[in-house]
Amino acid sequence: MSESPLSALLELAAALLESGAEPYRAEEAIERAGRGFGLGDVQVFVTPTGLFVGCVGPLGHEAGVRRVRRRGTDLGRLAVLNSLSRAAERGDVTPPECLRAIAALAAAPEPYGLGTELLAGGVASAAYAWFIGAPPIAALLAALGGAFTILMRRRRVVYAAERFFALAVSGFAVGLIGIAGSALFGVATGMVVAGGVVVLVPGLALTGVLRDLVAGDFLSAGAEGLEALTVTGALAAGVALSVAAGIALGWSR
Amino acid sequence: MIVAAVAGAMSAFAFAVLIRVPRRDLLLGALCGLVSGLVYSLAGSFGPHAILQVLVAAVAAGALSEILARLRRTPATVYLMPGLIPLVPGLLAYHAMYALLQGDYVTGAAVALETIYWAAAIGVGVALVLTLARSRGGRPAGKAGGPREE
Repeated sequence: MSESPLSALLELAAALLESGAEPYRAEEAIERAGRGFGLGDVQVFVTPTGLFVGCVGPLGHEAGVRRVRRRGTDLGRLAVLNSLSRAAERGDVTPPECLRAIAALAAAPEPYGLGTELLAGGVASAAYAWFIGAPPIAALLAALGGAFTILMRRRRVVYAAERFFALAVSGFAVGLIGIAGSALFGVATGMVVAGGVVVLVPGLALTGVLRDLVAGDFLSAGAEGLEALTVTGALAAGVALSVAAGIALGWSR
Repeated sequence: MIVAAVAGAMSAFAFAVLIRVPRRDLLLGALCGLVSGLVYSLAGSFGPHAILQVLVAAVAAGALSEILARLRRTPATVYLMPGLIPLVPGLLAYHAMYALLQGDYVTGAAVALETIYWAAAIGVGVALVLTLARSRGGRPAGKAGGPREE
């Protein structure tokens, strides 16, 4: 791979998006790093699923495109990349160093193991259910659902369609746990379901959409809004399937 | 009120692990959840109005995460995302879906609209703080006030 300033900018922005950064953050990072690398006339356009960068470098006018297909949320990585762009702006990091830092970050092990994540999924769901007023049994069932959804998320998901399917399956399973809880223990299905899927809510989409709308980045705002709608829709489709069965059997409350 | 604070902090802490907030920042993320849960519940004691409660709580969580971000030189997102978890309108969304499934479209549409209002209140609350923080802090880093991460 080339070690030109432009490819460092492209890699930096792509890595930021893959860590769950909002498009505006990736744009700001590129503008900062571009200044630090001594590039002129840096033009950048970032959407949640891809980006374009143009600049005037040592060889004249250059431009590059990167497609981003896999997005997750890794705020630790996001923070490191953000600092990297600031270090580049100060001139502390050269483009090859920047590329090496990004590659090292991508190769770094995940900060929390599977056991920790499953536990965290359970605790987050149970505590959220508790917050919205669920009784202990419902909170416990929500924890079960939360842990399952995290297990589904942990699988390496390559294609967007596969992600949609994984979300729907998670929703379906959580719905099943909800109606089972309703049939066996008489708890409100909604408390269990809301707790179980809360760990998958489309992260920052909401505030990101508003921020982009206000700033006039309509394409990013629309894409982020659609992404949030798709995630919610996939979850809802799964939940609806099992809850509809529960309603038909008279088990759901 | 105590339940809201404790449950808010717990859910924020656990969610922070899920979105891979670094270990050293986990407790501060939990603090944001504690504050948003507490403010939501406190605002309710003046007369329950869910949307207003959420708006106030989102402003509190946003302001706290901006302050923490400046102190710790890290993006505010790291604290904001866990902090907002207790405010997610999950139960409302479920009720909307449940009504629609039962063919009760009037209730379904009404509750769905309430869910959207609720979600918009979170977004507006946070956007309010974000805009204010930006207009005071200024973009160019390294000038007066020192560099800051955002």
